[in-house]
Amino acid sequence: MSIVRCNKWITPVLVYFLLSDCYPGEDFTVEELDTVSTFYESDEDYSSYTTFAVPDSVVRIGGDMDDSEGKFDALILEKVRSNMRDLGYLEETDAENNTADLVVLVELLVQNNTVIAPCYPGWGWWYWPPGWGPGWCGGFPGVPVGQYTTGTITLNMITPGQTFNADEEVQIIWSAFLNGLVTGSDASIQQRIETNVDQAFVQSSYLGR
Amino acid sequence: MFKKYIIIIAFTCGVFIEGNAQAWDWATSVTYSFGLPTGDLKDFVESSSARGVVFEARNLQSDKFSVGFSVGWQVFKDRLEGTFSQEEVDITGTQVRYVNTIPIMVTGHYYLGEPGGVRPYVGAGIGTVSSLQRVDVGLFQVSNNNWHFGFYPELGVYIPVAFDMGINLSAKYNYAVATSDSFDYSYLALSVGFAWLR
Repeated sequence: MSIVRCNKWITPVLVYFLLSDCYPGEDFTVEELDTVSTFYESDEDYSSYTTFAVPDSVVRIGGDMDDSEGKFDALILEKVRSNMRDLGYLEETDAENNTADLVVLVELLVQNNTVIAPCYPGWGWWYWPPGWGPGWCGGFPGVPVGQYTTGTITLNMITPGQTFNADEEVQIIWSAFLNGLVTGSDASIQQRIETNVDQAFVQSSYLGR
Repeated sequence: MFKKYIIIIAFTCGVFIEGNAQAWDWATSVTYSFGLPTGDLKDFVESSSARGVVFEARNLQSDKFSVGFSVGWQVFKDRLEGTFSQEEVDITGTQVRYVNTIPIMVTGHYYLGEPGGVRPYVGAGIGTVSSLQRVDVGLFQVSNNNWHFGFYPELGVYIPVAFDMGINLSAKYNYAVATSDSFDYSYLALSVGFAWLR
């Protein structure tokens, strides 16, 4: 009778490599982590408006910002204006005295995020007696910690001449959220801002006169 | 020619071919599974899956029939770029879509051929399927996990290569019925692996 045995290590090793993760990772560039989301009202006729205005400042809506973020404000505002003009809307330059049909409010949120790599409690099946072991990072000194900063530019389009309830609230008829990592050189951030503001209008084909 | 390949595979795995394969009462197997999505799953994740495994145990009730259970795991993933629209929302970015399916089934199989020889079989499984669905978009993540009723029909063949071991080849069509929160998941699983007999 011959000795017949498959190497017992092959199967578990094969399985480990095949199924190393429920969610196998992907590599991304910073640009690939940018998202542009737009929301609209399907029953709104955006071509019925003629004029627009954009306030001369970007509103901070909390978060973790210092003065350095202000260096992109003018760029953001100008990109919004130029896109609205390209859509055929006329810019109201004296919005304090002449109410524009549309106003695009620009807001900015920058947040610092801290990630602490999890140490999963481990079931110590590899030693005897089995029991709750130190977990995945129990053998390493210290705990991995990472930090990243995210930024969100929000564009809200309102119709100041119209209110929709008794409290005189104005309705947002279009919104755009431009989200991504705040990292890289100023030139790279500037290029991403321009690309993503443009994208917000490109994917909103219902806008325009 | 086919037997030649089997011999090569067996030797690669350290198996010495045994001439007189024996009958068995219990068979446990571990098979690698390649998944080809169909239906709604294909609409969601178009790429085939090279990450899959099935653990299975069968008890021979007679020369022709076995009952048992199986637990599988198949990981589907797709990366998409562009603008995705739904109702009054448009989102542009890079999406990574994941679907994990974990079918947990009781099984029955009917065998052709003779004990100790090559055994083609037909079978079926019925039970439950755990689905873990996740979409990563930029820095955001949306998950949707569900339990489904599921079943599969199966065609396969068991090829003995040693007195207590064989190679198991099979094709099964896994189907997880839609739930109120999820569409149905269906895929063709092509499996190859080893079976240990007792």
